Amino acid sequence: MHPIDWIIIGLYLTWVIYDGLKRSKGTDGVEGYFLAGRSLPWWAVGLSVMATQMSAITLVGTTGQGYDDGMRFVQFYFGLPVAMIILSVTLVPFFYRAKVFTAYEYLERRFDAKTRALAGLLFLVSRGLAVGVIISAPAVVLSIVLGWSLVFTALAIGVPTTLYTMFGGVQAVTWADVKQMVVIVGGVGAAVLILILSLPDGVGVGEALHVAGATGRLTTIDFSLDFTETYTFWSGVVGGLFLMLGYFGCDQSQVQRYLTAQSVDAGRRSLMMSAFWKIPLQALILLTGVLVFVFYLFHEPPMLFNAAHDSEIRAGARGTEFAELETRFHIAFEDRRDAADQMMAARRSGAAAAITDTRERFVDSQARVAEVRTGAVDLVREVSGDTAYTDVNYVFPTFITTQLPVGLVGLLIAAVLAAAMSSIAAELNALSATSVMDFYRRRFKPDATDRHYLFVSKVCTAFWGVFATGFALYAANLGSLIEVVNRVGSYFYGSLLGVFVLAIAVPRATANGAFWGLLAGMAVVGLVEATSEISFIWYNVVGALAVVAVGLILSFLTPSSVEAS
Amino acid sequence: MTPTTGGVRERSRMIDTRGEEPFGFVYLAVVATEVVVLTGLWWFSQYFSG
Repeated sequence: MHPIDWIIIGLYLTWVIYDGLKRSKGTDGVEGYFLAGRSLPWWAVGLSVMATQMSAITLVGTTGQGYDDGMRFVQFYFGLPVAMIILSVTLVPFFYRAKVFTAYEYLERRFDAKTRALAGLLFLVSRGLAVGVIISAPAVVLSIVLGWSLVFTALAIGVPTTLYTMFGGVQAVTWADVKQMVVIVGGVGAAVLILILSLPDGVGVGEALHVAGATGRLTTIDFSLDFTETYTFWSGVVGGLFLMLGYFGCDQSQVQRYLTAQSVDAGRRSLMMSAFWKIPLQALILLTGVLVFVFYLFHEPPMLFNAAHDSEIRAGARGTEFAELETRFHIAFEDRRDAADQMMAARRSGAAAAITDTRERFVDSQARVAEVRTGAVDLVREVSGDTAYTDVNYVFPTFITTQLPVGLVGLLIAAVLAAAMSSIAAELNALSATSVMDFYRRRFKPDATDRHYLFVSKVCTAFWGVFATGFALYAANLGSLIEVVNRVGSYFYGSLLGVFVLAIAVPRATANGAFWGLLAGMAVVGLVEATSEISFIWYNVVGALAVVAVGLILSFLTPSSVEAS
Repeated sequence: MTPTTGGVRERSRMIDTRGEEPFGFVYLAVVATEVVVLTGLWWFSQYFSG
């Protein structure tokens, strides 16, 4: 990497740490540390909400998905705008007027201490491990693409984030998020501009998109009602609605964002920013991946973008087989480029028969490229024993480091770091808030001074930062564990959403109904996962409905302790 | 913050639109925007994939 790119990355890291440390002056109490004294403007909170949701793996994974599979993934977010409206008229005013620090604190006021403790514990376990994955995933990608050591990339992400979150609290998190969103959107915008300018002479954006469209990469809406498919219109609108309600309404890392707003209205407005902009932004990021695909129609890409096992395979017994695949890939690429040129020429001529013929030839040639790539991936998996091997997350970072001009490489790497840090910082802040407010203050030391809680909060943030960074290094070699962590999240969101539905919508719901309903909801999700093929996005619907059903039955069958007494 | 025991409930309105300003038009605008964006995505998909 060029020294100028190093300087840009260094400046970015210095900037976020300096600004975070500067913000520590305004956090002299625990309410300031976790909620910024409920004083932040809606637009800053709104950007923070969006930055928290967009992790580095969302940025590089989504562009990779656009490259490999197209824009179908955008359907995942179709339920988000309506979820934001529902939260604005239900949970946001509830939480804000209850003056709580955490979402789980509200559960004690409505139900009892054990329901609060269970919800808080689920959050700590699932998000504590997940934040390790949020560090690990981009750290692995950057270490392979840039040739840095994994320890260095994990520390480059984990240490600065822990420092500014620990000292600056939620003020630092939010204002860093604002800057990080600017860096992310600016970086993606610059990449799109470069990709358009890189099209061969005489090739327009429309023509290039028609070629990509022939492979199905621009299919954005699929109306099929298939519960095993994650990315359909219905799974996005219904499953996505429940997922987003659970994530934005019950996950402390998001709830804490809008609790920092100046008023209920400011909290609502901050969510409306995501409601308006999330789908267009996600579509833009996916389109960036499609444009990377178009770029590599005219410039030969590597056969595999993840070169982690390349040298091992080349030197091993099946090195010849790998070399043969590379030769076949080169021939298939040349054929595809030729077919793409012919298809565009046919479109310019306007001859319908030629357009159909050349389109078919191009689709066939793309299938041959994909076939060679699949063969190469299978070979890597067999030789390395790395069954989770994939190269989708490596497409965009490889494009950045090998194709962008000096300066933009630094900006885009900073954007990837920014996406990682914004999510991690919010998680660390929320983990600390839950540890201190829901457990330490509630159960161990209820009468200490504000100064004491502030000190403990900083220690907790440091603890979670060290834990997450350490876990990231461990998780980097454990693909199956990452899957487990992600699965815990899908058990958690729908079921917890069910508890909040009971809390708000069912006055008759009792503490026991909510507590056992939550456990039963997660058990039902586990059962559904073990016995069916339905996509994980529907787990949130299943979990929420199971909790409400079990909670209602128990509430009506067993009177609450107060009623009984 | 007063911890309570099982069964003690806060009576609150499920739908709470109280605030300094009405948000009805904002919510309508969100829904309208989503309809426009999804229609645009569908058109985009049909136009370039056809």
